[in-house]
Amino acid sequence: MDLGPLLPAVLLTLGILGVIVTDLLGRGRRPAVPVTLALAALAAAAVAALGIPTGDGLVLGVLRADAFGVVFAVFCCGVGFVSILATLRGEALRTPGGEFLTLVLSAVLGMVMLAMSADLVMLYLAFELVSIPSYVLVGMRRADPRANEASLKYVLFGAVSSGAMLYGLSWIVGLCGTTSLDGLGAALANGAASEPAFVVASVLVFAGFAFKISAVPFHFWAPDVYAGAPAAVAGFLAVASKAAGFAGLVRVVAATLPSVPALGDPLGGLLPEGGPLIRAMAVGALLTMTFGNLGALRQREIKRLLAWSSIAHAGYLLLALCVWSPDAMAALVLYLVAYLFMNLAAFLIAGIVIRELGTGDLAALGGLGRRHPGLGLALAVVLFSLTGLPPFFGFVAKYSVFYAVLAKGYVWLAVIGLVNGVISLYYYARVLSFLYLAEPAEERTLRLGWPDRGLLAALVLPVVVFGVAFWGDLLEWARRVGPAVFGGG
Amino acid sequence: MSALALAAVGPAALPIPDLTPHLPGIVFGGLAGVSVLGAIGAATAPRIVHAAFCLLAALFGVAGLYFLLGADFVALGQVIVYVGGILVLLVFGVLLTGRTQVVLGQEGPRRPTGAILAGAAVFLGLLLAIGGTRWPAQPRPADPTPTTAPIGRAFLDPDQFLVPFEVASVLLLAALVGAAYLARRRREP
Repeated sequence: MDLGPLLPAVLLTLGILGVIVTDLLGRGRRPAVPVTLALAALAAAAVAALGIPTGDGLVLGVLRADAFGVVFAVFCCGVGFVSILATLRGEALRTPGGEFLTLVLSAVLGMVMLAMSADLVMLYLAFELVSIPSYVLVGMRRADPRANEASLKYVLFGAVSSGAMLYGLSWIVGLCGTTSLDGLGAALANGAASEPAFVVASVLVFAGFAFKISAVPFHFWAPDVYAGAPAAVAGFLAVASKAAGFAGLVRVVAATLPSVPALGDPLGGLLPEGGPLIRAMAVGALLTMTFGNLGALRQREIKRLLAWSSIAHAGYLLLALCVWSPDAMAALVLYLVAYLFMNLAAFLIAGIVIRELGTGDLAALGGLGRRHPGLGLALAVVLFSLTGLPPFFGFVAKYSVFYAVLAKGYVWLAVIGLVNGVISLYYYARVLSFLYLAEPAEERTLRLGWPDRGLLAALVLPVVVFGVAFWGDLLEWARRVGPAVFGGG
Repeated sequence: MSALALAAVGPAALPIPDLTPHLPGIVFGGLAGVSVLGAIGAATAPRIVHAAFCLLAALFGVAGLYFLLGADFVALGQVIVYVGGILVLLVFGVLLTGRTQVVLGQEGPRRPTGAILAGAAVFLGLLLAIGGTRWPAQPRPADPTPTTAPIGRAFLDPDQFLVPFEVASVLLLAALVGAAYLARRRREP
């Protein structure tokens, strides 16, 4: 029995235990030790994941260590790493305690398991292992009533949606008689896919994932939760939690889709061909892009604006998913990598600004771009990249998504996506107009330490570098996930 | 005299119809009724203590359903964990902290019509889907066999649920750490 594929999970678990023990022994006097340990565990897990011999076989009956799982495991470890560093420089400018690190590591472990799961029991437990630490992470600042409200909202909506998902999963297990994703495909091919109960169960399961990736109409928690959470935690949720949700969704779709009969085509090629889940994802993509961007138009606070923008980006990601081709899967991974750098940088800047100014109001940003050219430039690069303008990474990512959509002939989907890009330019550029054109209410200077600058540079430089060069190599690397999902590799 | 004993005497001796084939249905109906009435009571009772006791009935009814289906381990788990642990905790929490009488049902939406309609629509949809589906029939075992040992083996079998079992312990650890953090007396100003 080869336990190599479990190594990342084992390292993360050891990290959790190490953090708890060193935190207790140090009694909070040496807070740097658990932080270092947590960062080391995440880095080691990422390296170990890269070294996993990928194959199609099952590991311990419930996991699949293929290229797809490895890519997402490395991704989520990376986001956890950056989020801990960003917390060090976030609003409170205080070293996070052992609880925070334990919860981040547990959530990352859940994400790794979710991306690799090949069994519904595994999938659901991993899903909860992502959710429950996230609820607490949002409410970490207990003295802040907004954080408490955000945490409570997240728990309530999260509990309802994961309950709906579990109910749907129970129907699927009852219908197919197995919890393994492979067995599911076989049972569905034997006729279970055409039962009405399967359609209802698919909707319920999709609702659970849609909550996690904040797709319309399950998005309404995101702005309140992101606004109440520390900026670094909001970034962690917006990037890692969303990516893990997509990974789980891909696993379920890949297991069920080949056995599900395609629906008729009443709309004349407007929506991609495929079963109910593909159609639901296509409609969800259109709604999520549009409502996310429209919602962002009237935001006055930077974290709420980023929350709506991250809803819109979930729409673009769903667009890549509903096309369901190897090209689109590579585009999805590329988009997520671009999104990692852009969004974590944006949330880092939000955290720094709130730390220094005490508020995230866009009006308070007035004139900051002229007093802090470096920060202003970084924010400009990030926002233009989020819009999808060349020559930044965001453009390459959007281009590859739209290319995959057009390659399958879904012109209308691509057109609506492009229109949404134009809408998003308005609110991203509005932030820049505050930054450079507005007069400040009062003259204030930000105190930016070298760790702020270093971390920001590490996140913003790839946005430029991959926008200009090397993105072809990255796309080649992302193409490795195609065979893992679609077979033939 | 229970229905079982009556049935054992036989239909020839007494002018009572043989209920044996219907026994599972009758037991199911009783347990389901207790669960549903308990759930309705828990949702609508004006006093929180009454709601907690209605919840007790609902949870016991569900445990009975698990017994009826031959899932003895799950049924006992339901009784020990939900009735014995969570519900007792709930009642104690309410009794120890509730100096002022909490009257429920005043914070909800003033016009629940929309919620009732939506709930009814979902219920109807689920009912139609359940009714319209050919569920794969599982043969009912003649003798109820204890399920605890197979469940335990499946948990520790590396080819079945060993990894989920371990992940569940990490999940519980994380939940414990989070709960301890949130419930700890605050030291920050």
